[in-house]
Amino acid sequence: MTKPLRVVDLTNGWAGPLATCLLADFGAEVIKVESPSHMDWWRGAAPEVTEDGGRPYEQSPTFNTVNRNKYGIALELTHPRGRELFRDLVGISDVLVANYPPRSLRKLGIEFDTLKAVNPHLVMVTLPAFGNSGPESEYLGFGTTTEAMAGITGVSGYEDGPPQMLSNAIGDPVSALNACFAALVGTFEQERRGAGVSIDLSHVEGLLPFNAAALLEYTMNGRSQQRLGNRHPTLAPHGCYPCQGEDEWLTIAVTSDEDWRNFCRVLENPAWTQNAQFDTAQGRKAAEDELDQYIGAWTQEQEATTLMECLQAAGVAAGVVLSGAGVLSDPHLAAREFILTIEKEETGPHFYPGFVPQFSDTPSVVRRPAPSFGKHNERIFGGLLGLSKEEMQRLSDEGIISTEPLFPSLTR
Amino acid sequence: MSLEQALSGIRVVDFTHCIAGPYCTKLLGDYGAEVIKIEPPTRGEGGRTLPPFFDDQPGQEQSGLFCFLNTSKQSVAIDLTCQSGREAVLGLIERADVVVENFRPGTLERLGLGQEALRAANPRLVSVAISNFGAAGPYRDYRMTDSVAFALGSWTYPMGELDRPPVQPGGAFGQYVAGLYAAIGSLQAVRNRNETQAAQHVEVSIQEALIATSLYDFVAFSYSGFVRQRSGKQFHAAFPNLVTLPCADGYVGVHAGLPHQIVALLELVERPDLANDSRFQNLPTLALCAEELHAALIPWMRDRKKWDIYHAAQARGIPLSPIPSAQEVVEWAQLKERQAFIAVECPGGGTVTIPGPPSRESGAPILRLRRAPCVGEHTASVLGEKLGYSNTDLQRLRAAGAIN
Repeated sequence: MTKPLRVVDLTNGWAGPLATCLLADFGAEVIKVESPSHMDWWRGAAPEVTEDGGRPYEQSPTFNTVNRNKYGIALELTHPRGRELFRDLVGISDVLVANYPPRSLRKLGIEFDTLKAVNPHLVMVTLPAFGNSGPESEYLGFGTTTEAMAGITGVSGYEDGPPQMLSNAIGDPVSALNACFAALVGTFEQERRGAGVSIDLSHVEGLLPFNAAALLEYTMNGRSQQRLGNRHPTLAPHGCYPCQGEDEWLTIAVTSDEDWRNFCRVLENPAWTQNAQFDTAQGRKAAEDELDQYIGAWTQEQEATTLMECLQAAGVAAGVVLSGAGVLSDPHLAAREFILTIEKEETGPHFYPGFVPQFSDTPSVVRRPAPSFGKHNERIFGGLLGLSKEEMQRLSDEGIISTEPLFPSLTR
Repeated sequence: MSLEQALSGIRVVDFTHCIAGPYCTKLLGDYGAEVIKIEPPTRGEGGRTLPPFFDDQPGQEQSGLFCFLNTSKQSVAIDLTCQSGREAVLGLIERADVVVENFRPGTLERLGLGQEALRAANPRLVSVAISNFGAAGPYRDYRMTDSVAFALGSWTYPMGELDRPPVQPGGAFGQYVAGLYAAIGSLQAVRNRNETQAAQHVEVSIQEALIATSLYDFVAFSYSGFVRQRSGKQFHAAFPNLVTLPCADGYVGVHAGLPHQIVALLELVERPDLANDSRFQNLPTLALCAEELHAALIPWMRDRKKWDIYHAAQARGIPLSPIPSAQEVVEWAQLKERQAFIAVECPGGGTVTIPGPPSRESGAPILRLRRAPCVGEHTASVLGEKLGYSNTDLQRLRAAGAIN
């Protein structure tokens, strides 16, 4: 196994934490840095212990999904001693990933030029929404913002309705993957040149490829695409059809004339399909509304999974529209053992997404759940940085390290 | 020195076609890896016929998307169905670090280029496979379109109006997500390989890639039985303040989720009455008055243009954006200033403007990319230089239809 990378993870929310989560899944020693006055806001809840001693901020499904396999510390970066310890940590690490806005990082003295003095081999990846330069570099953006600015939101939604933010803010996970890729590229470059490297990743720029066809349609032919809903620019039928039961849907895509003939066979060739106009994609596209009505009336009587199986067996692309519950009961994902069970002290065992990608000879494993707030202070400050028990007690007394969020006594 | 060369020395044999696989090897190539793209002689891979097309004319060397997805690669045209073609490819694999493919599962095995054959040719090989549903499982041979990927990848169900069918996201990004995962897997596997000196197989399923990049549904269901309902123009039923709203010349997106941002927004739209209302100042109550918030915003937005609203809001620290069209994205000042779009030449002549690489070294200009290759443009040079094939060898193979 590769000597594990040591990664300092100064990120919060979704994009940054998922980037370092991937590295952690690959075996890196990832140290997530929160601060006593600013817990990762992805923990979602108020940073307070409830009357019965519960800690809702340890019970966020989203936080716990993107922080598995990491160590967690709470270190006050607004305090000079906190910043000194942070620099010590960076000094003995390989990679730093930071997703605070450029202005906040500057204020905390977390800049490549400063840090390379303590670690000339550092690979540093910063990922502000719009990049580290340019007139709008200090503008604020989240996953839904960068998704919009890459032109993706504008082409999402019903053909007759307003633009629709995506169900999962594609800007966040894609920026995570881009940051993980950038960090790995950085480690190769660092080894090649024998010196550190600072990488600037703009969420928006990293998202542009994910909308390449629409953007090229403009740069090549001067056209901006319109929203199409579930439809396709040239193919029909192509839609999302109701099935038996409540809120059960099947997406069906007929991509060729041969598909159409196979599709009709599954329907057992009812009279309405016997129309020469429907023999060509052009004819079907022109009669799309009519086709969708016939098809919807038929699918309504069918069970979604069974119908998917029948259509796929006939070579027609079809997929059940999976809800969260559907993911957990999907037979294919179950057969592949994709869903993992991870147990965290404060939540008990729950289901989480499995590893992507999968490695045959060095498979990823779950080593630990997402860290409770400040859980590994002792291991990192004592074990790794060699602070004495007395020194750690002093830091704790001064609120520079902590195992409890100190908000709101220290405000933002 | 630059990121352009970060991966130099990594040699990739690329069996990919269309989008997911080519995006993976493009990323490796753009950052310096040597990528040898193996294509069927004459027609090349299927991605050469993907829209959009130059002058709207479908045809060979007309695909702009191909020009984007295949920068920094060399094309070697080899017929994998004939013995001498396979021999040439195995010769290239012998000296490669990584093989990437996105054939249907079982295709390489049928061609005699399965895992065992690859490992026999190169015991240190990283092989990377991208497929729709993975190499095993009941859906293995299912057909996938973008719409099917989004449905079975759990992205579609929570999108749209409650009284209408769920609506799929726009575009084809599922394939790009899988390609990016595969690029990450390639690099991590090479790192591992450099230590272990042993072969490694890396697998990415597009369905799993989409589920792993979704976040709000099945884990939450596991915690509390929560099933997210479709919430129309709102991003998420639990974050109703994130919404698209109409304005004078299109739409804006409100991405303000925190009370102090909402208060600033209410001040911007000249509603101090609501800004001073404690319901808008606290997270738990804020979610309950989303409709009221939207109603306060709409009249102000209606008379203003999206880019003006954007700059005015951001100047006050409010995360708000226009919802730009493709044209507006390409013409956006921030991207222009950073040279986020670059012009590359095309194999059929002319140039196309494409998104540049996702990341750059701080302060450095964006990477320069080599144009996508014509089919078999590098057949003679690669087989000659790498495998020592003579002109006579090449002529013989060409005559037999094994290469082109």
